[in-house]
Amino acid sequence: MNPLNDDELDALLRQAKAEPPSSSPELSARTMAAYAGLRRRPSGWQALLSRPIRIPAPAGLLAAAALVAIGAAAGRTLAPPVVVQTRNVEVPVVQEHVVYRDCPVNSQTHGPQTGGLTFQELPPVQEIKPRVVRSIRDDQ
Amino acid sequence: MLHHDESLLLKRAAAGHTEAFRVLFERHREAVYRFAWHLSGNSGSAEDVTQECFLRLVRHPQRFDAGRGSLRQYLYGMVRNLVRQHRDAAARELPLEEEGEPALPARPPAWSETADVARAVHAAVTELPALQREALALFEFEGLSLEETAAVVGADVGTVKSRLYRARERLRRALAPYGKEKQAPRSLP
Repeated sequence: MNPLNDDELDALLRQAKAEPPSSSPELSARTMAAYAGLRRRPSGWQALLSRPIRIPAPAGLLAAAALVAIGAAAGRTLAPPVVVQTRNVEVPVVQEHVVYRDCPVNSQTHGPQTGGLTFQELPPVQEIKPRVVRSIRDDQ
Repeated sequence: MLHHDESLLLKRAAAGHTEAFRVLFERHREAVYRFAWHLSGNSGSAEDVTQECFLRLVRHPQRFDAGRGSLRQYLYGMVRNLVRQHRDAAARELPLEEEGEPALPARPPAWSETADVARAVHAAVTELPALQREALALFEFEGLSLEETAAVVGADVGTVKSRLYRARERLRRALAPYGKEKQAPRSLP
């Protein structure tokens, strides 16, 4: 079958335009009822609670960031603490003592100076006075 | 002047003046319904879209900018979006058992029972691909200019011309049985 030419198609489209699809009579009543429901203002607390609040974008972003931070902090706080079981044990410890000793001020070297010691610094004693501190008899 | 009048009516309707809403509704109802019908191919869906379209209009009156076009054009744009949403929602609501079955083409009621030419044309239009269908409905049935059609569908004039050409080519073939020389019009296969 040959396709229609332009004139034939235009004639059919004109016919179709003359008989457009029309809506049902209920559509009007239905839409007006829906509009009435839409416009019915809530009263009292409902109106207060359903009232939209405009928040500037920077304030909104700040609030969102604060909420995220609070959430993170709360998550950390609410996490159970790690409990480590302990018992008391004896551990031997070597304690160090600090000992003070007089040293010659002009000494250039550190440490024991036994290498440089001479008998000249130890003059012979003038008098020996022996004294018995303990006798062998004391043990008997 | 009409734009100013409609903007005023819209403001009043949004503020709760029922009479202003009624005037707007009665002024645009048939055009909105017709376009919705051509896009959806279904009278029930077209009525739902028409109602939702007017309710959205008064819910968000600030979205209409009279500087960008007429209220009628704005409503056509809303219908376009709503029909798409309805189609997506219907596709999501398909029961699982019906998956894989071929979708039935949207046909107007009593399509096979009548040889009425107007019905045949409307049915053939609903069989067109969506973009061609909306271009043809706006240009041929709603009487918009090429520029206005392009503004509603968000395409340039050249694209709209191309869609119209392809739509008419399809209609030429689909409506061939209804040519002048044919004595007894038959329903389409």
